Amino acid sequence: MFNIRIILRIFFLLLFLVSVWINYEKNVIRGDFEVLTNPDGPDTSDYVFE
Amino acid sequence: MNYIDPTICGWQEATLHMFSENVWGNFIYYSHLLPSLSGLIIAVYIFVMNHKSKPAQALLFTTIMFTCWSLMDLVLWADGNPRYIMYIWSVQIYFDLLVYVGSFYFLYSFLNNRFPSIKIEIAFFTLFIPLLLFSHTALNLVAFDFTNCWREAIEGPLWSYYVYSAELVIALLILFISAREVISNRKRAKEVIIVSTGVLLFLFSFSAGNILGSFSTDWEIGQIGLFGMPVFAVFLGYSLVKFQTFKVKILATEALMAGLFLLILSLLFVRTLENSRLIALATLFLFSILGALLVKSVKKEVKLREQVEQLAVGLERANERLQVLDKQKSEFVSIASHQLRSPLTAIRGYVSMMTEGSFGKLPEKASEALGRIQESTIFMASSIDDFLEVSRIESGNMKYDYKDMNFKEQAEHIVDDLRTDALRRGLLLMFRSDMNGTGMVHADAGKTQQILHNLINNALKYTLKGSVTVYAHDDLKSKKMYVDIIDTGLGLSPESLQKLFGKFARAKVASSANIMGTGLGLFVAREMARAMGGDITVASDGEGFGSTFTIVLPLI
Repeated sequence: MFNIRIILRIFFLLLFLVSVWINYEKNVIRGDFEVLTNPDGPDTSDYVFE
Repeated sequence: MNYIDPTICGWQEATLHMFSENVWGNFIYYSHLLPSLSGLIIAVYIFVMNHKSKPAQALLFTTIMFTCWSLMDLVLWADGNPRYIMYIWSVQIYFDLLVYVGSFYFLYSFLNNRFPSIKIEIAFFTLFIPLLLFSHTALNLVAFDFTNCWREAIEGPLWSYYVYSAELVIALLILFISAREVISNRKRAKEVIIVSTGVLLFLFSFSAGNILGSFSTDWEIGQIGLFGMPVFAVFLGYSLVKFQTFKVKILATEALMAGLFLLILSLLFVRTLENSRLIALATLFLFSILGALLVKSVKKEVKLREQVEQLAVGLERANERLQVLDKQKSEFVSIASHQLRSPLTAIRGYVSMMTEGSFGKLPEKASEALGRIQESTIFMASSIDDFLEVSRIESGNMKYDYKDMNFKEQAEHIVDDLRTDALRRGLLLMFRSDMNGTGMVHADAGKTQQILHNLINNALKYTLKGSVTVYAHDDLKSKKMYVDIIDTGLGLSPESLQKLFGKFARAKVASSANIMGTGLGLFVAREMARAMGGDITVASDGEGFGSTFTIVLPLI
């Protein structure tokens, strides 16, 4: 018989790994996140490239 | 796609994402590596020793999650690449919540020796659904803050509200199940309080810094909180030794010491600054001494404890064996006494018939000899009765037929019966009373008669001249009836007084005065009195000054 508890844990682990991969792909590979720069102080916007 | 040039902030690339000059001090390494690795080493050892134990499994899971969280946090402090910072920060949310879930599992399994039900596990799973769905969105991390050079992400509602609220609920659940266990199981109360306090302190210190950091963006304060893990380890270590929670004794302590030693030693190679080396060296030196002392003391304590446990087991076995032997002895005495009684009755019967002249007139010398035989058979029958009584008392087979009876009148009647015998011995036997009530007691009349007979006969036997007074009185306040048997006989020494009610105990004067007795009568009398809710006490001013025996019984 299948153990529901183990199935649930494996299911969660798989979803977790997918989520970790999506986050990696979004942040590290694509760098797809907003960057807030400072228009008043030392202008960091010059150091951000699209 | 963003590419950030961090040169304006002077950020450096980190070795293994963890080691760089970006961190604001050596304390970061202490606060992250020391707690997580020491906790992990303890948990691994506990798990290796008890891999089937549910709390050990949950503890290992929790410490692995905590170690992952700490290492990720170290990356956030040291790494100079905003892409990795955003990635690690967004994934760290899982580990934050998993530390809480693991802690709940640990405490639950510690209390119940099993994991929570599947329903609770599904509830925890649903708790993670928002994270699975939105951890890569702006709900988790809104943006990377490049308005200053702090290398920070701006947290969204998933971090700032959802996860912290979920953690609060789990912490309250831990508090609830611990309190419930303390109330329902008083025997384990101390153990549960210590372990649950350790868990809650660990979670509180773990989260307090993070929550403060989230709302104040002062992340440095959170470093102190990580030392909650060693606090937890200390509580756990205490419970290990004190309650043998995981049946790991010395190993866990040695593992902790070895882990910390290696950790501090490794810090010598991590940082290059001279002052950090000096700090690490000083810590290492102090730690070596304290660690060795701790291991030694724990070993000693555990060894002593094991010796005591072995002794206790040995004593228990010896006690069981003694009880069996005692029971066998009582059975033997009972059987032997019954076997002796039948022929003795025949002897007594025939001797009685012979002295009464049923077989013709006997010469005077023969009559005298038969008189001696009769006396001896009476003593022998009395001794056998005593043996039987003792064996009945010890085997718990003594039966009591309780009825309401007048103890004062019974004492008076017995005195009347024995007066002739006293006069034959040249003694004065008197009865006096000072009663406020009726003297009614609820007892076995046969047994009280036996007790009175025994004590008055004793008094007559041990009084060579003078008198024996039986004095009945009561105390209505304490609802007790007393019968004192006061004699002017041989008296008792303080040593004899202490041993008098023991089995086969006879006063020294009894032997010297050549008075026969088994030394069981007083033992039997007191056991009977006690079984009926009363007692027998004795007082004497010393040898030659007489003695007073007092029978106490509760009034109705």
